[in-house]
Amino acid sequence: MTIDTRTKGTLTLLLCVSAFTLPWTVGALLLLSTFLLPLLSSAFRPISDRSRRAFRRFSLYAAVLAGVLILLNSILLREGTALFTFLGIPLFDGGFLFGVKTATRLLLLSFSLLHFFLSTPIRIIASELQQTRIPPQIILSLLLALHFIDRLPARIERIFAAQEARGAPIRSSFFRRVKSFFTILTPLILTSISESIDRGIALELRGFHSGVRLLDAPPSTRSSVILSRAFLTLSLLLILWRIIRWVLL
Amino acid sequence: MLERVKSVIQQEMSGAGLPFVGFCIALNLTVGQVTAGLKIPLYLDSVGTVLVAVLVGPWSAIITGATANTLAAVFGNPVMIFFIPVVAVIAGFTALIARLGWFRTWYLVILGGILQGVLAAVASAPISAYLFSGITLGGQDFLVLYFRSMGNSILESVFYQGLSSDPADKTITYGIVFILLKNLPFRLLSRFRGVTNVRQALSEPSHDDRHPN
Amino acid sequence: MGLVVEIRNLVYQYSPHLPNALGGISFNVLPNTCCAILGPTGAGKSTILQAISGILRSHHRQGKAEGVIRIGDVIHQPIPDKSQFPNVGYVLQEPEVHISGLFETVAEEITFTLRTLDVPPTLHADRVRRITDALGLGHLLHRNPTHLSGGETQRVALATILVAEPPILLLDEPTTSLDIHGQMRLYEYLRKIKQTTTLLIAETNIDLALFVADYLVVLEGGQIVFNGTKAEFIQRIADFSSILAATEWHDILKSIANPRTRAEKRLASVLAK
Repeated sequence: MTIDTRTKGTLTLLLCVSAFTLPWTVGALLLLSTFLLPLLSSAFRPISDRSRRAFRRFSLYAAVLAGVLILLNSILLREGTALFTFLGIPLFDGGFLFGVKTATRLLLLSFSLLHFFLSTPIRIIASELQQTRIPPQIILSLLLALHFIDRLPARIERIFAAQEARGAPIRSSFFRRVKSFFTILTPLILTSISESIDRGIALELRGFHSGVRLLDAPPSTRSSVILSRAFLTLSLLLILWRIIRWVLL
Repeated sequence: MLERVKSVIQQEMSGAGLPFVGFCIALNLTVGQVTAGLKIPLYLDSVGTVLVAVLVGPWSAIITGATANTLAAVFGNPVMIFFIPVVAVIAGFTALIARLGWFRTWYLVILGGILQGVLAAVASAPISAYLFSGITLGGQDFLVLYFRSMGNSILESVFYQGLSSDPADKTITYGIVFILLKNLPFRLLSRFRGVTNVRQALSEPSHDDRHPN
Repeated sequence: MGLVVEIRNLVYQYSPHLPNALGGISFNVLPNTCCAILGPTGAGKSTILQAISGILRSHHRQGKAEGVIRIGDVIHQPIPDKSQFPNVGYVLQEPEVHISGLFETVAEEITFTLRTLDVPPTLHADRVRRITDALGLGHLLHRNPTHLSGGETQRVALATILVAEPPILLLDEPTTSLDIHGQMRLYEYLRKIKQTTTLLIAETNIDLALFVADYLVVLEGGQIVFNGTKAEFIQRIADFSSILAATEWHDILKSIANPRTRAEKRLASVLAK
């Protein structure tokens, strides 16, 4: 079955809402299920090698940090009874449980967002956003940001090289390096402002106006409309349930 | 209300404003390359947001910060998305003090940076505490745990952690933006709506202002 | 069909503490003709083009203008206050800024102009194909517009404007990023579109300007020092050679006297006419 961006987006929203509204045990099950998503559907697989690397890096980082945080919570939050001692230090069950709950919620939020963003090209997200009533300037600035993100590192490299050629103290004492920071950032900002002015003019010269549609709308199937509406309704119901519970208790 | 906001966004993001917002979003995400290259231990991930708040306007600054945080999530740091409200506070406060003329005087910039730091700590504390129980998968989590082990509540611990780092971080960011703007020629600044936030008298060009043709 | 452009007593000052960029200039450009605006850097060439295109008013809030600009039947007093696109197409000196960076293919980049003009999507492919065929860009349609050579970028930039079929086309030093073949190809094309378009070209490259222009306006310090036909210009070449880059004049005179390359022979024949 083909899963489109709208369905993926609303499913991600449902998972995030679940992280805040459902018991941590359900959250843990959902967390495990997020790892099945790329196996069940190609729509959730990373779109590039860069995305795959980002996913692996974050997974490793999150796993290590979650483990360390559970351990530290168990040691530092002296609630409940001591479960056991680790290198002579007592670990408390209250802190342990708190650590597990927090880590589960955080990991569920992080991984559901990560699965969505790393498997969806930003241009597709932009074209979906275009269907909403968001001003096109926001989508345009997002696309322009991607353009600049592609170019800025090379520009920074060039300025670094130019400063080094002029003998700028890039590899000297801390204070001289701070001074170098300005000699690098100032030309970067200067050239970018000049470029922004010219780009602004160029857009105006092509008749850019607030109503313009930048990208073609991706087609949506009947099943994707039904699924995305179902996920959205479920999310709203969960929030409502949580509010009612909070008011009643 | 929504239509009014849309119309303000359209006004702010016209001319050079729109591409400049795009550049500043990218700057937020790539300035780390400069600090890392120079081995300066600063993140400065809101330099772009502050630049836009001063030169373009509050709504554009909110868009800059929110988009940068969303892209940070796209590039592998999903937690950033939940801190968009904090970015909005930073953007709004900076635009407000810029309009009051604080970015024309160095000591007001420092004062603004300290106030901004406290405000950022206040704004991020409930998000860190209630959404993440103080743990956001960052190095500062250990400081939060330290404060908690001292007997403070989650909210207090997160707030103290924020107070210990945010004012310094924001004051440095403000200082950098202040120095950058001081060095920019008037002929470039004058193309932005916020030129009067930086230079008091429009008839006082800096020495390097040339004929634009 | 091209539209008339008339400029009357145009004075422009960028800000109160700067001298006048234009000091009361007047000239006409008839429909379907080409006017080359010549002069050294800072003479006011770009200011004239920006004033006609409408961006001068919208991008320089402190600028002060006097005079009148007529575009077709519309009189702007003193200058247009917003972009005159698609009546006036303007290609900037740096063609790469016309590449928005928003799109992944040249075809999408050119189509963007049609979207801004609300041209029905069913016509997009045909309009894009027509302009890319005319400019020899057919093989680049699926390439990334940010990864092109200088000449290709120049042609794509031109296509993003020409796809709107503007009756008036302004070009600001269009040959700066082109090699000699690219320059000749561009000017051949400009001669072709002159049949349906009014052209105003700011140039420092006199030989190229002479290749396509019917009228020439020479500026110095915001003042017109010559305004006349190509024949009148050639006749008076010696009178104001001192205000233009000496090397270019030297090259032209040398080429007229002893044409060696193909371009020089072509130039000599154009000048001989």
